[in-house]
Amino acid sequence: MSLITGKSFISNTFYKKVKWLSFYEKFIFAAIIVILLTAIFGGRLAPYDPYYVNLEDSLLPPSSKHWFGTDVNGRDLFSRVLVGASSSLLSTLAVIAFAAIVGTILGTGAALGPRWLDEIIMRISDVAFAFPALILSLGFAAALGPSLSSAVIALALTWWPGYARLVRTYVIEIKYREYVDAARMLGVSRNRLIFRHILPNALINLYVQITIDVSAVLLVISGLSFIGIGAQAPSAEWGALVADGRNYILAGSWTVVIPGAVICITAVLFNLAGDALRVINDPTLLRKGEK
Amino acid sequence: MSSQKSNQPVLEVSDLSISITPKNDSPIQIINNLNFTINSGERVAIVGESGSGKTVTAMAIMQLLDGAHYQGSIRFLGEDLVKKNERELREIRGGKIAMIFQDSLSTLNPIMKIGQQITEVLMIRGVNRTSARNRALTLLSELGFEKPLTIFNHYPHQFSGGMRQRVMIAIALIAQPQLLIADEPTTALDVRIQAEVMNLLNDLAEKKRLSVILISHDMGVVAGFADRVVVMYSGRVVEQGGVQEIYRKPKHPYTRALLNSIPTVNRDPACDLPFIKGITPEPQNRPSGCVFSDRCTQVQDLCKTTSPEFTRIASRHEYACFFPGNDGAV
Repeated sequence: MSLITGKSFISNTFYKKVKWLSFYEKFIFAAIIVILLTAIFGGRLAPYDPYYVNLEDSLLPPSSKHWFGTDVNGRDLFSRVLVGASSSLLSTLAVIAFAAIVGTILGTGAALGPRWLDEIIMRISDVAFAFPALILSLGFAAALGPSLSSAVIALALTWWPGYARLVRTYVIEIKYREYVDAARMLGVSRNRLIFRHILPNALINLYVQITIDVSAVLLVISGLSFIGIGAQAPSAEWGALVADGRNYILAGSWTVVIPGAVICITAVLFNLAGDALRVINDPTLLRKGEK
Repeated sequence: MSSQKSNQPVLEVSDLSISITPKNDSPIQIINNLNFTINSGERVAIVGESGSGKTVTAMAIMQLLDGAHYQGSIRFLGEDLVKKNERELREIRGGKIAMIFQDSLSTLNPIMKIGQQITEVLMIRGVNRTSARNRALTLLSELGFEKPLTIFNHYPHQFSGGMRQRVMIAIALIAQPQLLIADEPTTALDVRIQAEVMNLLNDLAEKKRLSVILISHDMGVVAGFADRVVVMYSGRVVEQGGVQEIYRKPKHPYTRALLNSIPTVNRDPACDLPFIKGITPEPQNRPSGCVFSDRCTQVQDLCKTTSPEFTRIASRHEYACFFPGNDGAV
């Protein structure tokens, strides 16, 4: 994985692969890029101040002036969704990055280290697995006090065991492959064996898990905000937007439906991107016409 | 090359016994009192059935048997490999002793480009990228690749079996080793490609004055390549000698049985192909006395109780059997 080895994610092969993507896959990647750009620059693109309360414009339906309508306080929903993208997605990515990095380090340590280390790491992850992630992070978040950052910390602490398990399994599988033995016979050192031969082959499988997890974490973060443990009142985090709107679902259904749809579409897109990303990153998956 | 160097054997395995200790069990002796020598530029074939200890011997030379206990010595250019530490061994592995394997698809890293895999051997030894690249390109064209530059940016799965085998040879030879261990290098290839690869090895070994250990159970391939043959059975050497002596005057019943079971063009098609009854015993269930006694057709009472010593009949032809055959060529 590029995060760990700093290698091969963006390379010539990457561009070559992009050329051979189907229209459908290009569309998904384009959409993901738009979503990520929104997360980064959303605040500057917003046509209105997302926090400006104007009770005269309360609960206006979607129109050319307010694309997504307005909420009960007269705030422009489109601006709020754009701004909310950064809190929702960046916190999701922070959780995934932490979980993947910590999971990779601990999983690799468990797979290649001494037996007792494996036992400790795996038993801790067993404990974490015994609770559903949502319940466990609920507990963490409640203990840390309700805020978006405590939701992120809580989720990060509950999410790594999945990666540790996954990485451990892949590393154990890869370390018995013949090319690892062959590399040892060429005089490759233990560290180089791990970082150049074992990990890249093991982590190639993580891309898919990561993209699937983006949608899962996004849903849990939105869920935590929705029940009031994550992002708090004026925040435009997507889950909080749905929570704000739910009291007015009859008077202004768009205040719930639109943020809900945005969460849903983003989650689906990341899931679909997982499949396509696998094709790009696995050089052994060839397509017609590719050289 | 100095005269002192050319007199010194490249590899000298003496009284080598290897045992492994499985968890909660008593040690198992997998290699028993092995003796053989490889001189500079010499090609020695180790033959024998599956389970006779050929690959274990190769792994022992590389010192890559995890948890094995060694007795005796494996001297490479006079230095005992058993006594070397991991750092010294890393210098030797791939640098002075290189190895090629049976299945080239599973022994090449699937997500590393061929070029990286060849140059890696040099770069871990401190050669810079450019000169590593140049040496690799030169070697690839020596190995018969017409466009070495395009090979560089390809992945292993994009090649045919024969090409991959040549890539493996390139990886093995790039650091200019003195000893090449080829562990059944042609078993996974069809006959035409086998011949191609063996010819290539032949030319390269001659050109680069390589000593080669060829591990094989294909007596045909061995006859065309080796100077000397070591016949192994159940973890020990049963007979060794020059390729002429082994093929024309085999003494040990096992060697003779191996040679007998090669199909020939002019054999009587009505007769069944001769074969050796039974299978190689597991290391913990070896018969007492001669290890081959339970499958030998000439077995006598003595064989079942006493292990035969080596009898030397020519300067370098020796066998371990009480009742050697004398009927010459098969």
